[in-house]
Amino acid sequence: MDMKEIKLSQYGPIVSSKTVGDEIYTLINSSLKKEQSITINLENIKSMATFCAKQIFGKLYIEMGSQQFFDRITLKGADNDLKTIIQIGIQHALEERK
Amino acid sequence: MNLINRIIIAPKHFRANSIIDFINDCQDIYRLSNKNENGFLLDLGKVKECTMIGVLLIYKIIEFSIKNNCFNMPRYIIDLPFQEAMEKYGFTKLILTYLADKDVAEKEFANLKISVSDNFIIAPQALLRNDKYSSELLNKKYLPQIQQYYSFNDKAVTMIFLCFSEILLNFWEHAVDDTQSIIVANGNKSNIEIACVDNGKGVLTTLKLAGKEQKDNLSTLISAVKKGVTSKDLSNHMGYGLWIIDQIAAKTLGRFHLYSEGCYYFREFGKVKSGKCGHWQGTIVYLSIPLGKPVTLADIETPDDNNNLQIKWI
Repeated sequence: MDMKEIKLSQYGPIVSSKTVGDEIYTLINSSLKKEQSITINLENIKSMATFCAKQIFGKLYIEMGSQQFFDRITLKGADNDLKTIIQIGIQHALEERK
Repeated sequence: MNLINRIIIAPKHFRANSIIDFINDCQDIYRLSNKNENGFLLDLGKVKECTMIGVLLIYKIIEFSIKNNCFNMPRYIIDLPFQEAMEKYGFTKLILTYLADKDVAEKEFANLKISVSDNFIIAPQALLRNDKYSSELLNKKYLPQIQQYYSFNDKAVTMIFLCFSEILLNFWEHAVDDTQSIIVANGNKSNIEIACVDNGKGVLTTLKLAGKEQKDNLSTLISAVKKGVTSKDLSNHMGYGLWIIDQIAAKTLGRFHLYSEGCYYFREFGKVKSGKCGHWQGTIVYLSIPLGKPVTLADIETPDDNNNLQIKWI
């Protein structure tokens, strides 16, 4: 079965506001309510404020738990810098929870 | 004939290292809202050279004083060098319209244009408070032109966009009371300057409101560029973005200036300096970075392996 793909290209090349971060989070979250697993296509996202990485991916990671996040979400097309931004966003969310 | 009882003379060579002098001279303006003081003169006629940050600061002071009715019939002296600087950085119509009619100027605000040649790109962009609209404008029209200009240096584009992401986020979250701010980029193939100036809530006020006040204002400002201690309230998260900007300036041996509400922090060519200065309502962020050896977040920070994050990348 094909996995549903959410393309974030319309939000690129940078994600730099809370409003847009909220919109992306809501888009992903409502997809997760309908689909068992999804792919998030980040190909046109060149950069993202660390705030937004935490707001979107940190929040999802906390809400879903690490195993569910891994099992249900695939992140596609991020370069090394975007990967670092997203990892730091998730890391901060985890640290904040401690 | 009207007597002049208050005069501000813009620096003769208005570069980044003149910012403190200018804001020292301008600080009283913030106490004159709705005072309609008589006899004010802004003398831009002694300016021989004015860089991007100079034009931006002069615009903000004119905009604030007119919008807040600080002066009754203010006078302005403008000579050729400042006219040329306004023209070069795309501010002529906006500033001159402001001096003539502030209501028309507010419409003119959104019409700033990017100019690009082989040798340079000058890109002013209005930051409208409808940030969804501004985000779209930035992403669809503004940033692609910068990306295109620097297409020969992909890592530089990543570094520039990382700076934009963090500066803009900082602006949207902090400068909530300012509806007329502008971000400007001025670059050539080997260097880029980015400046964002607002008269909203400054970094200091925002940190204090978030309960992060240090022993004095200067220490509070310096804490803003330290690697952030996250607040439990997501909307109050701050500090990390300015730390990234500071680290980029450090590793590229560039320049980063931060001014807010009577204090400043500089990192210039590897050296750090901070101190007190005139009151600027809001925040001034100025960044000038060489592009020869670009630095991105992956060069600054590696995620902590101990967290063993479970992320599926393809």
